[in-house]
Amino acid sequence: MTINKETMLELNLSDVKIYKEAGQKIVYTANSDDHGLVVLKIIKPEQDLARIIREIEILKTLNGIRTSNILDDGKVVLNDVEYLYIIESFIEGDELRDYLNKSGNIPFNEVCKFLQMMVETIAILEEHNLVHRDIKPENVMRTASGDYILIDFGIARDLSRTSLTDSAAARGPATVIYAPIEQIDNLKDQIDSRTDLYSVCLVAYEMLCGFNPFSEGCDNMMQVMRKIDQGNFTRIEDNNDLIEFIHTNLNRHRTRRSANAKDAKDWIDEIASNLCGEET
Amino acid sequence: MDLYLQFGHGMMGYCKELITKWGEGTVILSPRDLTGDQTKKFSKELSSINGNTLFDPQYYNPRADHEKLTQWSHWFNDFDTALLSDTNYIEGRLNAIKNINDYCNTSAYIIPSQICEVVDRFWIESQNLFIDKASQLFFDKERYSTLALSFDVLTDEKSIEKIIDISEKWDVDGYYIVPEGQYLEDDSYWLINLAQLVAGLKLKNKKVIIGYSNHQMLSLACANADAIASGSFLNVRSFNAGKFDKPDPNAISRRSTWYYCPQAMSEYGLRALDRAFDNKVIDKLKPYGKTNEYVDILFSGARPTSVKFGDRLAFKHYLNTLKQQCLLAKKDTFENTIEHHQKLSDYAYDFIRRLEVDGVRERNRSFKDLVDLYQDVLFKLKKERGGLLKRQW
Repeated sequence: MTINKETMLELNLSDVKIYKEAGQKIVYTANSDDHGLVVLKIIKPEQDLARIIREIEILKTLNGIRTSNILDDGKVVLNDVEYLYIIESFIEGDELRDYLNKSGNIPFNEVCKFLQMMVETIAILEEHNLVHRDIKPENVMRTASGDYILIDFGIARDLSRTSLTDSAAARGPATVIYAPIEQIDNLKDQIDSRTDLYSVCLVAYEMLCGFNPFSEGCDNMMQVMRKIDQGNFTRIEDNNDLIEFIHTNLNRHRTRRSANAKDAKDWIDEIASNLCGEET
Repeated sequence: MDLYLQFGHGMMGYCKELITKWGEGTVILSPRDLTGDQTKKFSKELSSINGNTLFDPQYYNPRADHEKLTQWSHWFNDFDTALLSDTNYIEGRLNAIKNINDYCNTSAYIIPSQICEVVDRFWIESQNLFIDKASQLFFDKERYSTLALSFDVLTDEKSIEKIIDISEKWDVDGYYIVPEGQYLEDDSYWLINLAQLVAGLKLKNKKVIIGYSNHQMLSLACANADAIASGSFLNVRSFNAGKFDKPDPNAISRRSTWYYCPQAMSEYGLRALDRAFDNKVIDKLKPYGKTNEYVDILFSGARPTSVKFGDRLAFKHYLNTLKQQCLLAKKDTFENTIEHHQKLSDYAYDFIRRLEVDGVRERNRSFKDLVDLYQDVLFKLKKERGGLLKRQW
């Protein structure tokens, strides 16, 4: 879909170029007179508007802390159809998925740094009563300076507000191969930051080993879900604190993971400082 | 980890003697085995020798018909009253429990609970009711909630994790776990799940006491348990809700005397000790090579069945030795504690095997077939909660 000149003027944008087409939105890059390079997201019609509005509210709450910053949002008419739009700050860097494809297995130190930054982000979300619920390599950006930024709060949950998911649904919104069983089973009262800790440790596992231990070797989603339900994954053989952190938070039972993101942050920070000590 | 004394039939004398010997100690009082007046007097006596008490209301089986138990002021019958709707009734029962705790000068409250046969909303509602009411009425010392768990619950991993999960909402300082199972339980999951429960609750910074225990539960030190409680007869070393019913007058008593050999983590009957005597290896069975006032007579050079080594000495020796083992059961780190129990169980296995070579066998209360289960507990704790336990130790 082309963005016409009138719309660009209305939004104070120039040089609008299509970036990618994701599930529920079309993403463009553009120049803003006020903010420089930005991302324009046009939400496709017939989307779950309540969820999108919730995403905007969540991002505004976070105000750019380790995620993209919402600069503007509203409605715009294109080809006689009204669309919701969001303008966000542009994060220069690679999707973690692309970085993994290019780099292969990632060394311990880098994975530790990834975990430190992401667990810190989850701890910030926890302070705001938020759960991302969709941490996966496609939703993490690695900036040019090597920082990791969490994006796409499309199915994030604000635990202090009414859930938007149908409680009677057998399955909750999730990218199954990165989600813990309580999320897949739509056990809404069991969703908290431990859900995000599980997913981020699964990504860390994939960074170290080059594969997702739950989808690896499976022919269909039922097989994957069974493995997740049984907590059946190949444990990494290296016996060190980082692996212990990953295994602990990948536990099928949330009661066996770190009690909360703050505790997990203290733990991973300790591991990181020990790793630095070993290097020097 | 400490050893508390689980009060049972005929234990008054043992409690007083052992607490005097240890210089301290805690007794979990049992209304099934004591009247109100006896409890009052006994608590005072214990207090005078630096002993502490806890009062177990024993609501595990509300239909229990044991005469002594049902005469207590705090006793309730959930079939006679609308337990879950009549809050005055519950308040009345808890006030009675408070009164007993006051006159016994207990160190903490044990909040009653019915035995959990299924972790479902009915049990959770009942648990919530007792805990909520107790938080209003029991405010002058710590509160421990009873977790009386059936064998089926204990052998179901998901039920155990569910209890840990819902316990986050309970306003208590600790838990008194009453695990249903047989003496020296040999189910593959029973002890593993019990250890996971203890570890899960400890990781929430709660005090955890496991009642009705025996030396098999030494492994719970690896889950960071605060105390296990044990007693004289088997009905206070393992839990069976049936003991709260009237005793069967036709039941045949099959009592015999057992000697606990701590390095074997096993008990030997007097006949097995006779074989050791005949084969000239009796001294190997001395507790870690040394005797004590309770077992001197067994190693005095006479045939064990010919000396007066009866239940009284056997019980006191068991509890005194278990106390020493408990006090040594936890080390400065999680890893060192695991290593200690690995060595303890490996050594016990080798020791039993060596005694067998010497012609000394004891099948009924041997640790030999339980070693694998004991070590499974260590392995699973390391695997499932090791990282967290290490950090919190």
